[in-house]
Amino acid sequence: MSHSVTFRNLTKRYGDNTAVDGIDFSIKEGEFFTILGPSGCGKTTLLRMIAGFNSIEDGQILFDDRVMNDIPAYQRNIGMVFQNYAIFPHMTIQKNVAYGLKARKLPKAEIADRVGDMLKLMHIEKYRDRDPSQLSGGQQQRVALARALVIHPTILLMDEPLSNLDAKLRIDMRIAIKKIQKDLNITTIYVTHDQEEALAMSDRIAVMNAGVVEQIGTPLEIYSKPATAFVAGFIGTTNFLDGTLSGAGSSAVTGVPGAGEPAVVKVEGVGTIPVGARKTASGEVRLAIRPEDIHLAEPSEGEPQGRVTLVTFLGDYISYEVELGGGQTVEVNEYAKDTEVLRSVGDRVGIRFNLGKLHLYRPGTGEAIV
Amino acid sequence: MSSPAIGPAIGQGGTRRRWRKPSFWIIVSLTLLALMIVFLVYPFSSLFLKSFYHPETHRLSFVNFIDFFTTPYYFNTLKHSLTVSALTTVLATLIGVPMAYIMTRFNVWGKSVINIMIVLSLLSPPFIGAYSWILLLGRNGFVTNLFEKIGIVLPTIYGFQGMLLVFTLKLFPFVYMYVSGALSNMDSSLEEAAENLGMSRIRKLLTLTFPVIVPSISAGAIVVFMTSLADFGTPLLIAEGYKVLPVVVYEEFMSDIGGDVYLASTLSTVIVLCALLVLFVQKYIVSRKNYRMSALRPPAVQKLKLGKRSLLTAIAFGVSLLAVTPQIVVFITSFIKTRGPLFVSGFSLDSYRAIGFKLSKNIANTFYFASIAIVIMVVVGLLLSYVVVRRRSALSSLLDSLAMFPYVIPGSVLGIGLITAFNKAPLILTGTVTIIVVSYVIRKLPFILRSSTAILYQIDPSIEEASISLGVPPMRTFFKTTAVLMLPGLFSGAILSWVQTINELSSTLILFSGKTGTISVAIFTEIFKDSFGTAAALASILSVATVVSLIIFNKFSGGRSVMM
Repeated sequence: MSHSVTFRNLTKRYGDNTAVDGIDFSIKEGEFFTILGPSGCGKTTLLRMIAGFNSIEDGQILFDDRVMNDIPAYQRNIGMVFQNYAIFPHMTIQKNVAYGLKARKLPKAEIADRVGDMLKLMHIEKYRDRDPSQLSGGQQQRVALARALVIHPTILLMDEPLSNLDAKLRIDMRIAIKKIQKDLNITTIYVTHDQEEALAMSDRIAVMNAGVVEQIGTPLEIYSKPATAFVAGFIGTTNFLDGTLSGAGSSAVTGVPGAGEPAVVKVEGVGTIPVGARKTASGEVRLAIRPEDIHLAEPSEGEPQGRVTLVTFLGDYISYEVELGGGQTVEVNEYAKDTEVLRSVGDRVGIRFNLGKLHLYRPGTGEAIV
Repeated sequence: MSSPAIGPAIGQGGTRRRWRKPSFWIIVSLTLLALMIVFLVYPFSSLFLKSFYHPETHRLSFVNFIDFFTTPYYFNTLKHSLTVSALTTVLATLIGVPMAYIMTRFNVWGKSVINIMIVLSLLSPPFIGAYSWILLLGRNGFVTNLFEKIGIVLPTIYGFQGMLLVFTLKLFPFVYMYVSGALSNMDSSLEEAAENLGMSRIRKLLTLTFPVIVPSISAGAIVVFMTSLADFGTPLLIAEGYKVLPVVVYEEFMSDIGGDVYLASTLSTVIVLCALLVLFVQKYIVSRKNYRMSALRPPAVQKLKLGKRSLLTAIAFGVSLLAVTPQIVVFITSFIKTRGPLFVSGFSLDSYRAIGFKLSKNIANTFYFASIAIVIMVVVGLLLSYVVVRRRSALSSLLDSLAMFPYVIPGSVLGIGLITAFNKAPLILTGTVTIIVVSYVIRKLPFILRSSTAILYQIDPSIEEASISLGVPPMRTFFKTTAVLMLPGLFSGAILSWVQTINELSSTLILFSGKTGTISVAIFTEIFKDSFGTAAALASILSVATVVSLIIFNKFSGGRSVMM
């Protein structure tokens, strides 16, 4: 039933501003695919290009192997859920859901059947004769989803659909949407700026920034192996430390670490951090590490040290802000159940990095140093 | 390929380039443009161009303008017009702003009665005000005679002071409406914050309340200025020797048709330039300071003690009573027995019978013309606002500016422009219903466009996208979603235009022929024939029709404010 979606060098310009810049990847049939990025990164523009509401300046969009560039929006058979739901305010719930089927001139009986089934699936059958204004946000969300799915679309597009719901309902709807998507096995492209939502729902995620895709991967890959400094900073919380990379025994003048030699990063005021064997790079680097991959210990000679400046108790874990030498600060999370000593503000602590979870990026471009 | 049915409309398209027919909105835009060129650009550009041609040599020349500025008779009319309009604007603001403040911030008695009186006073055309005040304070006026009996001679109402009186009392409600809207939309927390920060009551008023409502004051003031500058029914009745521009335009044009059209168009150009200039100044003020507010918590109404409360109530009541006086006078007069032009004691329905006998055609015309005009207004408002808001392009902004232009054209100038353009081949429309309907639609175009764009801005564009993505082509989508959603708002906006259209005098007076007279034209000609009884009866019918229309409006708008 479902289709794959392929972008070939897809580009969208608004005057001098390139909103989507040479996007090139494929979304598999039946996949729950999320486009994640900050506002203004081009994710909504990309979604609207798929829907047919934005023109395409360059490149192609394909559904399976069919080029869609010149197919008008109303002929694409796409189900779309809008950020503000876009429920027709002058129609009852039932008429809203039946709208797309009427457009397809299906027989009355079939429309009634399909609308009835869909309302049941979404648990909104008791509101069928109500006006949209009488429904809560979550119920309207279900109507929007029902209306998009009832036409048996080839692809489902969702534009920040949960952003107007309160926190609790948002989590319920995440699960509901994911279940329905898997049941119907429909290719779904989901746009959000909420990284937690993206991690929780997606089969794969594309992280976008400034019109380009920074990384595509499963939630686990994106979280644990961020391909760029931007991804590392955008997904979850990451500490960045600026330093200089060099081989432990190599010449200080060239700074090029010898092959196979253990390399270290020198961070001003912190000390040297061993980063394992790195072959190609040298010079200025950004070191990234997540708060849960730093551990606090008793201070000891030859090890990075710092002073606790803020303690935040968050229930299942404790978050510390630690000021290192040279004015840099890091955030450190310790699980409450694993914590032996509760530190207080002013305590001197030793800093231990989980070396396997360190990532290095070039300071300018943000690309990863392999 | 597992391609399911992608809706019935899909052929084998996609790879093949098909011939694309021009979109519905392109056709709409071009049609509207063509209509505007014929009925707006052509008449008015030729009218204005005429003022730059020498009357005899037909060469480009400033001779008309030189004549205008060097002939005291003509130049004085400009001075008179600007003096009256400016003073009216100042007085109307000085009455309207305090009235609004008193009514929104203090617990005066009988607020709803006062408000009804003010709304009623807005309903009739200004010249009826002039006529009523003449009935009271004119040479043979009721009050004048009363005072004469006790030996007091009242100052004359004719001339400058009469115009000022009529215009001020007629037009201050515009300022009142705008300002009271702004004052009640000001969240109470704003003033509380000012008090909390240690501002005294007076300084709070000067530093917060007043600056915040300046845009609304200027919006009301500009309506006052434009209306008093353009109106010519009032000066024709009451100004006598004190000539103002619209009157001279009318006289120059009417005295011998085709005779001094050049001078008439020069005068028209001068009026329009004055109006434009003032409009730009107002826009400049508003563009620098405009605040959007919607009160979560409306401002508190101050509870006054008996003494102050009575005083403010008396002031508010007195002012609104003065404003509504013309309506009352007209209504009573319509039932007084008449013998020819004279009123005799006793009441009767004679005046109404007289109308039924000879002027029923005018009544039918009024509603017939306004109905046609309103249908066109709704359609044009629907399509034009959509093009302007949702299909932005160079063409749509051109349409927008063209449609707004009639805002600065006084009714009489509009009438003259149309009549000189369409009294010759290829399009002869003089004396027809068409030309009157065209003038109504053009005059109301700026208001239709503003109100319908405001409605459209409140409709979420993704509603249409949802419909399109569900398989309904764009044009059908528009009619099934946005158009349906706009109609109630458009209709209530159109009723306000209808009210103004049935009361329209200035352009109809120039455009009407024997068969196409309206009520307002009949009132005017009856006054000039000294048939005050029938004039009053006609004016009462007009007022009743207006009130009925507004009741319908309130039903549709769910009690929304009367202002557009």
